[in-house]
Parts: sequence; structure tokens; C-alpha cells
Amino acid sequence: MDFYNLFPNIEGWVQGLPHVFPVSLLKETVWGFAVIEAFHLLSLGLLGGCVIMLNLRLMGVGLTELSPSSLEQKLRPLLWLGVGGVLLSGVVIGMLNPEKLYTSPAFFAKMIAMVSALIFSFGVSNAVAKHEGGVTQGAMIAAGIAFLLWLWSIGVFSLSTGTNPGTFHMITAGYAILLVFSRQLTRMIALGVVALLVLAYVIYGYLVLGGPFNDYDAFMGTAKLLVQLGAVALVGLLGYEIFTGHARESTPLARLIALFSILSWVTVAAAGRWIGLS
Amino acid sequence: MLHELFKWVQESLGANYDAGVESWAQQFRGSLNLWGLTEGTHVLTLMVFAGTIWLVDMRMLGVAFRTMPFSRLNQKILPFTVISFAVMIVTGILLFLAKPMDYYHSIWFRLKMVFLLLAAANIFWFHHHVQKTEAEWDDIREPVPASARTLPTIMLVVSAIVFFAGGTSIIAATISKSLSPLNWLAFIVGIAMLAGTFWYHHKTQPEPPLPVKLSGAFSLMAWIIIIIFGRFIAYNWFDCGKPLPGFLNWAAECSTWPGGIVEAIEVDVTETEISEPVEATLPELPEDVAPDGAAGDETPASEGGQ
Repeated sequence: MDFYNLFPNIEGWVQGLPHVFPVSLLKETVWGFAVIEAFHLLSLGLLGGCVIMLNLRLMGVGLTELSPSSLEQKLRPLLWLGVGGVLLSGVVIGMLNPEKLYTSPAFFAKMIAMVSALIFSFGVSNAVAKHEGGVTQGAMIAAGIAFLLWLWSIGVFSLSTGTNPGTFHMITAGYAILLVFSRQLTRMIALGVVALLVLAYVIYGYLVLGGPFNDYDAFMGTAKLLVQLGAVALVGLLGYEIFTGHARESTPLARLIALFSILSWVTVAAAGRWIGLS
Repeated sequence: MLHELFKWVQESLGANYDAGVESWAQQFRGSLNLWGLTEGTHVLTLMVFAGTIWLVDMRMLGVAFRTMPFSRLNQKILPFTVISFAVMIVTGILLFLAKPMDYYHSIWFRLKMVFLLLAAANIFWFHHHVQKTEAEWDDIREPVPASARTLPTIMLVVSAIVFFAGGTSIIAATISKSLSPLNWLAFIVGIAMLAGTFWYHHKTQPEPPLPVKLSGAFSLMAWIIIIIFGRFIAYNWFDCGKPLPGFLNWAAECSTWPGGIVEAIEVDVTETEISEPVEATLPELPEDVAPDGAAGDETPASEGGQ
């Protein structure tokens, strides 16, 4: 699925975007795109730090010296700066390169994930933090909408040929979050699961097949299966930690919201990267 | 010597061309997903690394988390910074090994390495010198009213615009071969304005002390520059084998690059004797090395990356 499939009639408008002032000035240069792209990355870094620290706090780890509301207040200007930078540079990047994005499933997944991430950050996580971890009914509805949008983006990302390997980033991010906030036993189990999957990957690819390219289809099929097993184990372990975890000052619902808030931004970034890689 | 080592790694290590087996570096670059996943992990980890280190830098500058003791903030954030940095180093080394010779001759990669070393030196100086007096400046006692932040913020925004515009003008003018002292002047004015903003900030908000602020400011700028230069590696503006100013040829050690230095390309063939064919200056290249310095796997955004 991509924007071309949804809106085939706007192709002419899309083709004209690079000629819109002032983006047209950048289009004439060989350095303009690179400079905007670097600015995009810098903004993403700032945004990432704010999103991760705030949501980890909601999960009961990280900057626990500060109350969630105090941390949210301190991070707010930086988060706005990061989001503003990402959106502004993102629009320019999109206008400079619209035809590729118009037909890119990764870009479509990115846009859906971005709406989800913006709702999570500015309609849910901030509200939960302001209520010191309490989830109001409004925040719950917004979280539900954002979660469905995120699922949609994950669906597009993982089912589109060429982009689907990028979902690996969300799984590794999930494991990273799990290692940060879970109890010792869960960490050990998670590391054990990852080690087993990697071992199975190596044994099957290099010992059983004698090399991935000897039977590439079989190798890729097994690799996909192993990644899916890793994802299932991740969901189980995360669910176990979220609903039985030791962070008492944080409710399971707040932890769940914080988790998906981080993952939605990871999806935005990963999908963005795979526009170029797919 | 390093050129030869990286050439061997890129073209020969693990290769058995008689049996149709490419080098490990070529196999890695040519892999369906492995290179992309490694590169994606490198970029995505930036969200953790840069974001967390900048929060600490801003606390050192006294512009964020002022009411939280530095030691507590650093203790809580540092593990995220260190672990993400480790991931970036591992993935970065893997990406480097995919085409070490190309990176070795990239001016942006070299500049990135210089600033990485400077950032490391700053961390060393901070831990072994500045941090020894941490107890004296751990807490900030003087609150800063919101109104006092307006002018420094405006100064910072204007200074940063001039600084980055000056830097960009140097790159643009070098590409178009119209570099003049005015470009450098704009850049130097930007640096002076940033320094002025820093000085004004320190005068109006004396806490934390100057060495702490200097270390924080240097770290902030160094990582910004490292990210920018890291992204520019994907672009082939100043790759060896292209017509480049002498200092760039020297800085990128283009004399050992298979395509040679700029003079070989700038030769006017109409005035060249037949006994000195231009081809002689263009040695054989491996099939996967683009002589025009095309960015290859890095997929520069202008070709669709984002």
C-alpha cells in the first residue's frame, strides 16, 4: 500500500512539488538535500532523547529522581524543538523527492506511524505524565486510536516487499526496552531467546544448508520464521513485565502507553530509513 | 600503508575469485538485507545516543535540568549514552569494513574521525579535570527567570543560522569552484557570534562554572558536527578522482586513490601528447568501485534516501 494506490489522481500535483518556492531553490543545488537531511537527523536525535527519557520514566526507569510531570515540563521545549525540526525538514525532503515517496510503501508506513507517534507524544504520554502516571478517559481513547494507527503502519511495513526487513528494527528496539526496564530473570530469558534464535540462524544457514545461497528461498523462509518467533517471544515477555513488573509508581496501562509511544517513533525512523534502502 | 591494508580488506580478504567468491567486504555490501539492517541500526541508535548526551550537555551549559543535581542526571542518563555509543561503534566499524578504502579516502569520514577524537579528548578532560570539582557546582543555586532566557535564545538562533549558513556556503562554493574569502568570513563571523552568545550566557548565568560550560558546549557542537559529517559521507561531491582543490586532494590522500589526483582529470586532452594517454592516469578499478565517487550503497537522499 502506498499513496499512489490511495490517491492516483494527485500525481500531477505530486510531480509539481519540487518546483514550489522556496523548495525549488534547493532543488537547483547539489548540496541542499544533504543539508536538510542532516538537519532532519539532528532533530531526530533531539526528539529521540526526549521521547525515550519521558516514556522510560513512565515505565518506571531512567530519570526517576523527577516526577513524570516535572520531567515532562522540562523536556517539553526540547521535544517541541525536535518535532518541529523533524516535521519542517521532513516536509522539505518530501517536496524535493516526491515521486519516489508517492509510490513508496515505506513512506506510507512512516506517515501512518508518524500520526500515531504524534498522538502518543502530544495527546497521550504528555497527559499521562501530567497526571503522574494516571490515564484519563480522553488519553485512553487517544491511545487506542494511536495504537490502531501504529498497527496499521506495522502491517504495511511488514507486508510490503523490500521494506519488511525493516521491521527487524522495531523488534530489536522492543528487546532493548525490555532489557532496560525488566527484572533480572526476564532479562536473562530475553537474552537466552535471542542467543537461541541467532544460533538456530547460523546452524541452519551455514551447517545444514552449507551456506545461505545454496538454498536461498529455504534460508530466507527460516530467517523470517526465526524473526517471527523472536517477535512472539518479545510480546510475551513485554506483556509479562508490563502487567507484573516491579515499578510500583507506574501503572500497567501507563507502561503500555509508554512502550508504544517509543515504538511508534522507532517505526517512524525505521520506515524513513527503509525508504532509501528498499 | 593504511590504504594498502584497507584495499586488501575491501578487495581480497576472504575472496577466492577463481571459485567466484567475492571478498567479505563485497559480500557484506552485496547482501540483501544485512548491510541495510546494520546501517539502519547505526542511524536509529542515534536517537538514543545523541538525544541523551545532548541532555547532559545542556545541563552542563546550565540551560536544561537546572534544578536537578548534575551528578544524579549524569548517573541516570550515562548508561543509555554509553550502551548506545557501543552499538554505534560496533555497527559503525562493520559499515566501515564494508568499503574501508572508500571511507579512508572520504574527506567527510576523515573529518568525522577528527571530531570523534576531539570529542573523546573533551570527555577525557572533563572526567580527569573538570569533574574533580563536581561537588562545587553539582547544584545550581541561582534560579533563572524565564524572561532572562529570551535574549540568549534569540542570539543563539541567529548565531547558529549564520554559522551553518557560512559552513554551507563554503561547501557550496567549493563544489562550484567559486570559493572566496567571503565564504570563510561568513563562517568565522558565525563562530564569533556563537562565542559571543556563549560569553553573554555565561556572564548573565554564571552557574555552572566556565570549564563545565565549555566542556558541555564543545561536546554539543562536536556531536552535531559528527552527525552532519557522517551524513555527508554518502555524497560524492569531494570524492577522490574528481577535480578538487589541492588541499582536499591532500587531506583525502587522493594520491593513493586508484583514480589518482585532480590533475589527472583536469588535463586538457586536446593539448596532451598522444604518448601520454589520459587512460594511464586512471588505473583499473574493482568492478564495484565507481570512479566518479558515486555514493553506491549509501543511497544519498538525493537519489531517494531519507
